[in-house]
Amino acid sequence: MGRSPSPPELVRVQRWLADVLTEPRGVSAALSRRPEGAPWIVEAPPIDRHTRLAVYADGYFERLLEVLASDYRAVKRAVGERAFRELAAGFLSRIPSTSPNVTDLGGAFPTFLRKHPVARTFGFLPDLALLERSALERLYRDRLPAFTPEATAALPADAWAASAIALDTTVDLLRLRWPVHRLWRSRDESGRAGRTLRRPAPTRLLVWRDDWVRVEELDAKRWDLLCRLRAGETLGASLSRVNASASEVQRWFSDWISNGVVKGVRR
Amino acid sequence: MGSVRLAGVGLGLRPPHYEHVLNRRPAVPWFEAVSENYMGPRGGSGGRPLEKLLAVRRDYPVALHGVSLNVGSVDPLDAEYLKRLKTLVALVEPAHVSDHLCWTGVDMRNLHDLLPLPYDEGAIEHVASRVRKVQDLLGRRILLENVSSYLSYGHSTMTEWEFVAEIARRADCGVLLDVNNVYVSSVNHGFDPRRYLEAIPRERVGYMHLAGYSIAEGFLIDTHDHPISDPVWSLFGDAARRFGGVPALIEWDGNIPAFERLEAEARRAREVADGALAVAA
Repeated sequence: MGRSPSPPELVRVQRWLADVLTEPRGVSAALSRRPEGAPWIVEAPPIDRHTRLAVYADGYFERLLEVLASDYRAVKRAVGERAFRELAAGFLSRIPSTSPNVTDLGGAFPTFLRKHPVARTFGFLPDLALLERSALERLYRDRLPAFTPEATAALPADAWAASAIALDTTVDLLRLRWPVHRLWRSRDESGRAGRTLRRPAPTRLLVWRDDWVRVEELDAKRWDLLCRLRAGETLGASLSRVNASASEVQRWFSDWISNGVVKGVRR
Repeated sequence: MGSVRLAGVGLGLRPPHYEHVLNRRPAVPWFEAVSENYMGPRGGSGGRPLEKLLAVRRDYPVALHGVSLNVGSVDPLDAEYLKRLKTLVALVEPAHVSDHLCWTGVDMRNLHDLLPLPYDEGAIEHVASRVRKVQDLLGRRILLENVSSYLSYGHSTMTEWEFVAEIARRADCGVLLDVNNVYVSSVNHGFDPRRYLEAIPRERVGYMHLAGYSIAEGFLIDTHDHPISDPVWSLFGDAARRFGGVPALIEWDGNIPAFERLEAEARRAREVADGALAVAA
């Protein structure tokens, strides 16, 4: 092995390499700006120094682009492959990864899109990204145990009104300007239909998971009731503020218990 | 090492195969799971992936294999990451816990790549001391995997295999010997991969990795998206002879095929290992 006259400290090597490998304009531009570390890298067959560095630099961008494209499939489908690459490049240079887990990488992508000029062309894009992020985060929430018929029967009938309802820990309630759940549902389809939205429409969404993530549009009454229950209001107080019939409430709770939205009762 | 002993040829557990594994209970001796996939994002937890892993764990031994320990970085060890890893280890009770002999980021910026270190005394002491801290915190020995590399440093003072063996000795850790990585690096840097195998202490190898690479213009890239190549099968035969009955693991991360294709690779690995051991006997 060759020995350079003064071996660089590890910290210098790592900072230089990180800078070179993440330069958005590529390795050549990085080496023009930071030439001092180039001699540290062995120049030997079968490939030259520039290519050796470019393998890592290209891999850095492509790997993180792949993560964002997977986490934001509906956004990518809406804007197209090329525009998504540009958005991802802009995002990665503004907000590089600071987490050991790539699942954290796109956490700020919805906010980034909200401030990006692309949101003027695709007004629904920030809402769509918000929904995709919420869906991803639901996937990584632990569920509460199922609400069993035995647990329901254990509560005296006169105790329900004063009890609080425990929603599953995966539940998220999103109030959006655009009905982006339509795009989310077709995120893995290859056709052109269902890629964009033309008009906004106030939209309330329930996002949660049982085995997989599920998204359901809510009317104003169910939205209001779930928001109150999630805030810790008792069942009695919540129902007194929601203009719903007994049969409606019974149907809603039957659905919410069976599909894992409601997970318990706290007296 | 963990209380569960691995044997035979295991498979990397990947999300497209969760349902197949859980519903059909294939005859696979063990699985390896990528630790970070079950730790969840910040503020989250293991969620659905962890539910699946724990369900698999009920029927199979599991090894945990990380990609973000960043053990070679000059940054401080990530205490939050280690805490979450320790929690995961307690839940899964894996046979082995491993990560890579590399650095993945610096100044809190994560490159999500396995970057090589200079092979010198300073890096040995730096890494060995950090591995000892990790092992103290986890309360168990870990394995370090040799990485594929595309660059090397002019100020290295020893070979990669000397570097790996010395870190394992000073840190008192094990080695996860990736045979594909040895081959890929041997082509990219022009060394004899069999010399590498001969230098790795037998008693430190916990298990071996096998995977496929991609061919670029004049060099190889460790992409895990192809079948295992003939030169790697040949090198694996040599490794099986040298390391005896050490278990092996098939990794496949891109263009993930049907589960049966992975089982076919595992069958071939068993045949190659059995053949190599028969010749040795």
